[in-house]
Amino acid sequence: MLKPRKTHHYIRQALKNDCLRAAVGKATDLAVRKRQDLVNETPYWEDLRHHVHHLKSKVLENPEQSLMTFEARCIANGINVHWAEDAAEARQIIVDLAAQKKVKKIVKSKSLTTEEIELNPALEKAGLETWETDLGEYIVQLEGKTPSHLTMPALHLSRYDIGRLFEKKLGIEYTDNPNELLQVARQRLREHFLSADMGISGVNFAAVEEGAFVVIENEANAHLSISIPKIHVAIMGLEKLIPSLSDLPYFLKVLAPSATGQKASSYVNIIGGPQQHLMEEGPEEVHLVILDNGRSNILADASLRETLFCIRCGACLNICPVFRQVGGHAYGWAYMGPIGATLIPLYNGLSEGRYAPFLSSLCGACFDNCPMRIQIPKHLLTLRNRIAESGKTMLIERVGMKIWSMLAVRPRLYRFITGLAAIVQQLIPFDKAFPAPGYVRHRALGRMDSKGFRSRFMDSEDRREGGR
Amino acid sequence: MNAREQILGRLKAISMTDPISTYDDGLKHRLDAAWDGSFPDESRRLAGLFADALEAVSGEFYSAASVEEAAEIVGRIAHSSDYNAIVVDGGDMADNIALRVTDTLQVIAIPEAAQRSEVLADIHCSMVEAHWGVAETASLAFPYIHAVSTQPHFLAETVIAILKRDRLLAHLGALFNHLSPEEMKNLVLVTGPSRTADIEKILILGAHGPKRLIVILLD
Ligand code: SF4
Repeated sequence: MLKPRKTHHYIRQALKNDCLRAAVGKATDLAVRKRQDLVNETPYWEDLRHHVHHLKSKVLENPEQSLMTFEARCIANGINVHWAEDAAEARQIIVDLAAQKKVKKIVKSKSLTTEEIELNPALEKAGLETWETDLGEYIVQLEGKTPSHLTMPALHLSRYDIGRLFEKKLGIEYTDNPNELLQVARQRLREHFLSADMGISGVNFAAVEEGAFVVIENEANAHLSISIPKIHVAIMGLEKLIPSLSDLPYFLKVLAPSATGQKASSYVNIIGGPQQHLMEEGPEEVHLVILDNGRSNILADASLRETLFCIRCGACLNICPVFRQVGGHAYGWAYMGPIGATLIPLYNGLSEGRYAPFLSSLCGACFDNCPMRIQIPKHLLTLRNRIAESGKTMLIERVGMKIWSMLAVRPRLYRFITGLAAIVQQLIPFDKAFPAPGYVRHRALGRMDSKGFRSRFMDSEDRREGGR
Repeated sequence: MNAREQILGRLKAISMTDPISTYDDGLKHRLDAAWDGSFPDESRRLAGLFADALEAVSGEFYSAASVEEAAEIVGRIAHSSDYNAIVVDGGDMADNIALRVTDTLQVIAIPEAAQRSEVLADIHCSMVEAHWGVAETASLAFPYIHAVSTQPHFLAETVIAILKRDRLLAHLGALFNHLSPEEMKNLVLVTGPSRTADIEKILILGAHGPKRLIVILLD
């Protein structure tokens, strides 16, 4: 797994990669356009956003009660419920379960929570043959990397990259035809579906009233991972609750357009217990791992708990000018883009995640596009404040801000210093800017002798006075 | 204390403090009325919407006035794709149609559970009966309590779904109002053939499930 504290390094790498930027730009443009078309067709879209936000607040207002009811209903439905304080405990529960049931092969469907807890390395270390079955995740698994987008895991790779990867890792003849590449994956994975002992999935929504959970997908791999192996394990963050399945249509109605620009996802699987007694197929055992991993602390934080309303649709990534430049790996963790920039310090701590909230221009497009109406810019500012207050910023930033704030409250001194800087600027040969190593690597430093905000403002005031 | 107690203990301390958002109680009513109001009442026009939505997700739509006509359509589809066998996971309608195609197609019932996935993995065409259809999204609802197996929906390359016209609802909200708690708890909703756009956002059908989804709307 990448490390958020190395963000600067990842960003430098990403900015050097023109192919990455082109791939991210192309994919996100299309997703933004398709989403917007569907939103335009839905005159009550804003009401929908308000309503799903309200449903989430309602169910998380009293999380202890909601989770206890959900657990009791799940147990009544025959689902085995496990609780995990953190990533290590969640991994151990699943590894132990696999050992206890003598599992050899596991098929997994796409789950960001399993990325968060770094499940795959733990399963492999325990000697369990584990296959990602979502095509994008399968590609990323073969590559030995992590997903670069919440809903498009292999966004950073072109078809030529994937062709070369399949040639090297699967020993097939090189092809960059997407359909042929899919057929290879389909054939290989079909064999694994039919012989797997355990299926693992994430959870999109967990309905309190019914004690059932929902897994949404387009490829049919999640359904096959759930219905063929004899044991199914689902893992969910404790914030995935919704009040009831009768509220699900509202969430489905906002999720598919925001995630994939579709009116509806291809498959919505609702699992309310082992299905053996209904059809003699499907899992004999269903296990559900409820993960905290810092979420209860976030819920306790009134100003930031709304970040847990996220349904991982990726719409804020697609519209974000920063994400579109640097892609997903630059954030250094399982969650990326504007929502990742808030979740990284919340889950990993202010020190480890100190750079992430600054990966935003605060333009507000993420809020406008978020189906859950999460006020991401506001949360980013809250986190920036906390990081600054905790002293986790770089020394040069701290000193710079101290000097600036000292000058800002002394207008005369401010004018004098900037005037002096303008004179010094003109003494620099060849019209060069002030040296500012690091800062100017990817952007320009404004000239001190240019017409700054103050003089422009004064000019416009003078004009207004003159016009009266 | 185990993990459960620790987590719930922490959550208990924060319960009921600081309600997160204020909410206008009339909003849900307004929203439901707007959602309902965007659909016609008559079933003919709903069928048209369903057909358009299905085609938009690369599904294929047929309408049949009788079981005989539906059987003829099934026969034609099988013939044009060189299928000589079909697996049927039926309700009454699918079974009735299956009875009428036996001279051109080998009709296979759902195999025993132990061999089910192995057998079905080699069969190219299946016929299933949807419990409900949703016009807005062209989704089909299959509650498990009415199904013998869901594997024919996923393992075959071509899936023919039979939907009775009087089982067509306007939108997803209406569907969940019609489902009983037991039906909605174990359910799969299917919208179009299986798909992926994981390689350069290029849409390819038949990712891990069917490449073709054909819906026959039956009067
Ligand atoms: S923050 Fe909003 S837009 Fe971003 S992934 Fe979460 S739900 Fe989607």
